[in-house]
Amino acid sequence: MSQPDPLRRCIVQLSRLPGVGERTAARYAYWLLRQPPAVAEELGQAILTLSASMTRCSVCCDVAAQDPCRRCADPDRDDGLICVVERPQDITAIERSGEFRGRFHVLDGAISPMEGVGPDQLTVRQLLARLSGGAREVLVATDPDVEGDATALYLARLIKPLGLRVTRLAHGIAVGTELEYADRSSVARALEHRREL
Amino acid sequence: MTSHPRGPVGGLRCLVLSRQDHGEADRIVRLLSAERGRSTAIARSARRAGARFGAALEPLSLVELGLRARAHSMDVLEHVELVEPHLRLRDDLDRLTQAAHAAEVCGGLAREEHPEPRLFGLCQTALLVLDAATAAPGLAFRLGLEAKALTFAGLLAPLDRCAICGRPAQAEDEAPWLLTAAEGAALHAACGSSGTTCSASFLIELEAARRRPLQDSLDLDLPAGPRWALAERVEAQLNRPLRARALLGDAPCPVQV
Repeated sequence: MSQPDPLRRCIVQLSRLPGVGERTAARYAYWLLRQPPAVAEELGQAILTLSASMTRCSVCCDVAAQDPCRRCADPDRDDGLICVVERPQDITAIERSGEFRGRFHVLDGAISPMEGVGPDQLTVRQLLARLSGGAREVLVATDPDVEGDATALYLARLIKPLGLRVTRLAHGIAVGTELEYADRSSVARALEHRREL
Repeated sequence: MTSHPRGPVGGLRCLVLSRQDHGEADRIVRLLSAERGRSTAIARSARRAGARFGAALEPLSLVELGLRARAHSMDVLEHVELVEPHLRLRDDLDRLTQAAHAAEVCGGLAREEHPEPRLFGLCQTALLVLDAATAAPGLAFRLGLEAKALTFAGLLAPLDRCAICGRPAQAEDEAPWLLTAAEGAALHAACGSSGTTCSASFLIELEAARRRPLQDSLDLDLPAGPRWALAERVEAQLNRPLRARALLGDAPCPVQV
């Protein structure tokens, strides 16, 4: 059997990345061919060491280079406030706001009856185990969609009886958009969550 | 993919069955409509902030859309108007799971790019009823929905009589009956050997659930019997397990404090 063409092999592998189709993968592959060999070597090395050097934080379930991760090890963060997110990338979005100094918990997805994903496939058990450690508020920052809403409600029903405050990221009309063009769901949410001025 | 001719299609009322991220910012949506049955379309840039589709492409929403039908590739969504988001479903995981199950069953049994007014109407009714309900529905609702959907797809024989000898099931029957997932039929024990054993009264109630309007089954339970036989019939047709089934068990809260 002949070896597959290295260029073809590279395109096939690159097109496995999320959001990368075959055309984009081919563009990447041709770009790599035009670079000095060190560029491809560094890229390959970075990918190789990624899975070997990254782990799961045993506290917040985020992907991290060390366990516990640097956020969980940071003594200056508020232990009483835990922000629950669906994915590790969501932590970056919250951190970028500069408004949050609490702890995080990564659920690793959201409850989705449409996809057959139930609570036992998420890190809900680990979250519940953390709550006895002095938490006073759980901020549920799941996406404002069907799955995120269902997950938030499910968590609220589990956590509220423990005497903790459960909050949700506000949702409604996005900053910078015009009311006239907002969709019906967003306006309904904005009305529901209106606040006192 | 569509076999329809090219061109714009407007005012198409659809239920969004599911959506899947595609490429950097696109979304592929599976739809169910009376006119076109099950279909798939691509919503370009739907995941970008401020996208024109907004929240209209959420699963279980009723929408009115315009699309550009293409002969040999996926239809492209041009605009989407949200008609009914069924937002109250999100308040209750049990009702949401039942709604997801209804969409999966009706959407799964609907033919691709063929008119399916009855399956569309059934799904639309199920979502409306569940959205307005204040508690999780009883077993008769789910089994009634599955029985109706299988009937509309031509996959279920009458359940209150033996499919072979025609003998009607009677509540006082002591001999067991069989419900077969493979054939979607009820059999008198003397007429068959394969299938799940059940009582005649279960079959009579199941047939009644199939015939009565869905909303009238909301609070009803059924006598003990094979709870999953009709779901298995649907699964056999789809050639895969129903995704929502794992969450439809008797325990509504798999993770306990």
